[in-house]
Amino acid sequence: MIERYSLIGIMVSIIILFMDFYLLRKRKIQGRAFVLWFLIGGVLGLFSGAPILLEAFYILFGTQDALASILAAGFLFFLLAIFYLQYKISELHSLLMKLAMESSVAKHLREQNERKTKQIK
Amino acid sequence: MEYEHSSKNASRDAQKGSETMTYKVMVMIPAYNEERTVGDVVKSIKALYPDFSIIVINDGSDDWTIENAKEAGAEVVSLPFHCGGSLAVQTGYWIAALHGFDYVIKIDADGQHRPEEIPKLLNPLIAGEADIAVGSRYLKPNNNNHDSSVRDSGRVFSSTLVSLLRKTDVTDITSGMRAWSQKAIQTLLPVYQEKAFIEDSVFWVVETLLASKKGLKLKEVPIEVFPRKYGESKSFSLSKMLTYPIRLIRILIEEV
Repeated sequence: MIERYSLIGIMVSIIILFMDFYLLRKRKIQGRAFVLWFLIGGVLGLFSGAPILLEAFYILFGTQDALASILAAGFLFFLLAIFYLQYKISELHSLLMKLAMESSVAKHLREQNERKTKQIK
Repeated sequence: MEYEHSSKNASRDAQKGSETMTYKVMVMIPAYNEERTVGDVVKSIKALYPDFSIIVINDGSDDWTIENAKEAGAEVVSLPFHCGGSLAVQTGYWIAALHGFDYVIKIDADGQHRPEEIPKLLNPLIAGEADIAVGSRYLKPNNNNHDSSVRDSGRVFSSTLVSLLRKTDVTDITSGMRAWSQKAIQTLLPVYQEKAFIEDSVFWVVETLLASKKGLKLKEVPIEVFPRKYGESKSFSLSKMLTYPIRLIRILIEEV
């Protein structure tokens, strides 16, 4: 008989994959994000559908049951995801600051040109 | 816009063999919510140096800073939102490079610096003794230091560290009154444009390290610094103070 956590895992996996493809079709998700969530959904579905694969986690983490090893793997993944997001946020912050600077310089040059044009007229 | 300089004491002029030389000088005043003081600062600079271009870099102020600066006769370049002092200074560098200014001076908008002391910073640049001149309140005998002990210890720590690492003698690394030659601006600006955003608290440390790395000559000159007339410094907060050592370590890893 299929375990309840397996069933829930498969359902969540299907939802992730469905949403991922739906957003891709609507062009509301970037290519890299699509690949990431496709892999997450696929791996979740695979491990939920075939819990025997979790034995690798038992060995790797040395935990007593499947859920504990999933939790441990999930926690580590969560930390890595936060790290990556922080990196992306600081990258975006830098870009935003550069854009702010460029826009203010461009505005200044435009104003100067307008003043010069008025003077010529 | 132009600064007339007597050739009698300047080696650079002697080399060129001219009686007087004129220079395009820009005074950059980064300002964030300084409506009470920016007008007076601009007026006093204008009165002393009518030929200098005074450009106020408005860092997203939401008070009357822009209006007061314009009324006093300055040109205002506005950042679209509050980006911090380091970005305001970098914007000033960019404008100076675009317009080909020979020298750029930075002075605070809060009235802490004396415009009368601008020549002290300009003269070493014109004489070719330095590419960057930094006003130091600690070089003045019997100086009246107005900083808190926490800020002072941070300054002493970073100044000593940079002095040791780069073998440059720096006493007031966070000084807000500075001057750059065109060579310094043209050397530093492309590096900043390539770099990630630099936080205000470590900007001058980064610049000092960069300048030394790029072979720019830095010279400190004694200046007097008055206490702020209104409000509090925007470059200091408890969180900044607590994370300052980490920021400094990060910068040293990046730059050394």
